[in-house]
Amino acid sequence: MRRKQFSIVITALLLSIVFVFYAHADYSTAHVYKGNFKQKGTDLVYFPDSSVSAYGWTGAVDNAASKWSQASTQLNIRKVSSDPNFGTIAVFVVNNQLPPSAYALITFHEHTSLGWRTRSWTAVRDGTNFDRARIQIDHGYCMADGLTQNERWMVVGHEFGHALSLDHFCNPPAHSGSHWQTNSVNALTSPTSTDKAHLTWKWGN
Amino acid sequence: MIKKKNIIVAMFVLTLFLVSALFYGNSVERIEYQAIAKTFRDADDLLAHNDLVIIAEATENSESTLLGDSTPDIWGYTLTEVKVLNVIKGALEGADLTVGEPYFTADPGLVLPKQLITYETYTPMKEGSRYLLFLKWHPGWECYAVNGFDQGKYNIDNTDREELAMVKSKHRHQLRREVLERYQPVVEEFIKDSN
Repeated sequence: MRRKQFSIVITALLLSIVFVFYAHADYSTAHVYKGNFKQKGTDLVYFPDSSVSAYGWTGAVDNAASKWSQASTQLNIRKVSSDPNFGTIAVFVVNNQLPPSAYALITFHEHTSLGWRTRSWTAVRDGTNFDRARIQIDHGYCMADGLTQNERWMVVGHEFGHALSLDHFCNPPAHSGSHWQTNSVNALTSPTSTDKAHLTWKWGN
Repeated sequence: MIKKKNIIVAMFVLTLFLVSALFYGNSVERIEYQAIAKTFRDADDLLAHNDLVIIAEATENSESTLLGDSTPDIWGYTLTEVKVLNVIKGALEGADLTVGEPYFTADPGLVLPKQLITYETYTPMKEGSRYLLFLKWHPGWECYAVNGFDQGKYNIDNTDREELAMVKSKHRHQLRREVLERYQPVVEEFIKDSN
């Protein structure tokens, strides 16, 4: 009898360990890039190009910078009106210029002794640091696919998340549901607690 | 005597440096741009959202166009000529078509590696390989372009192994399997035996 009870307890314990391990949020490079801005989080700025207001994306861009900044005291992404290049998230809006069905993209750039170099996001994931992130939004494809305002705000929040070194996460059960950093569009206008947990893991509380 | 030896050593070091710099400058660095795009649910969704669906063979004629301001903000696309073998959806005149591909090449200078920049995990079409292409008219590029990055291009004759190797997500594998099964009867006659 005792042996049976002991077996049940051990099995339950093992199952619990397996579940906790499986369900725990994963902050490895699968979800957070090793690389980062060379500048401190409190020194970061975002520069919205004139195309941002021309196509009506100012609210989405301001919201993304503000919501991510609120998620960590180590982050304060200030808005600037001229592009300083360094420590900058530069945002541009184009109209039907990106590949078909692309809503937005992010590119990373590092200033080296040989000048500016574009870095692959995979290099940033693996540890390359950078000085500048550039977000490009395609207004035409967003509108053609009928993205709502909330969905457009999510798209920009998602790209800002990449600029802050967050990758995609959508694997269940720890990351079930919608987040800003899932790899498909949803209508969230703020990062979820899961998004914020990954951000603070990277940047601090 | 010592001077002559020093000069030889200096020349050797200089030559080594120049050869290394040229070698580095001629290498190709692969860069991926990370993007968020429409995700096609299934083969029906993919078919519905494209203007032209064709089976085609890629030629060697391919040229990149760079857009944007200047370094560090370069972006662009590539125009590739293909021979159209069959039209599954849409109407086309003639057997030649210029297709927009979501990648481009850039040369940032003599001593820096050339760059092959792709959007997401898209891989460029290979000369002589055959593809099932889902194309959408691109008003900016003024051509039919591969839609949804790798969701719009499928090698059908197993001559482009890189394409399959780059498929990462479960959804993309599923979509790929579904598309290839759906169009198998049509593509079968255009499959070349590469072995």
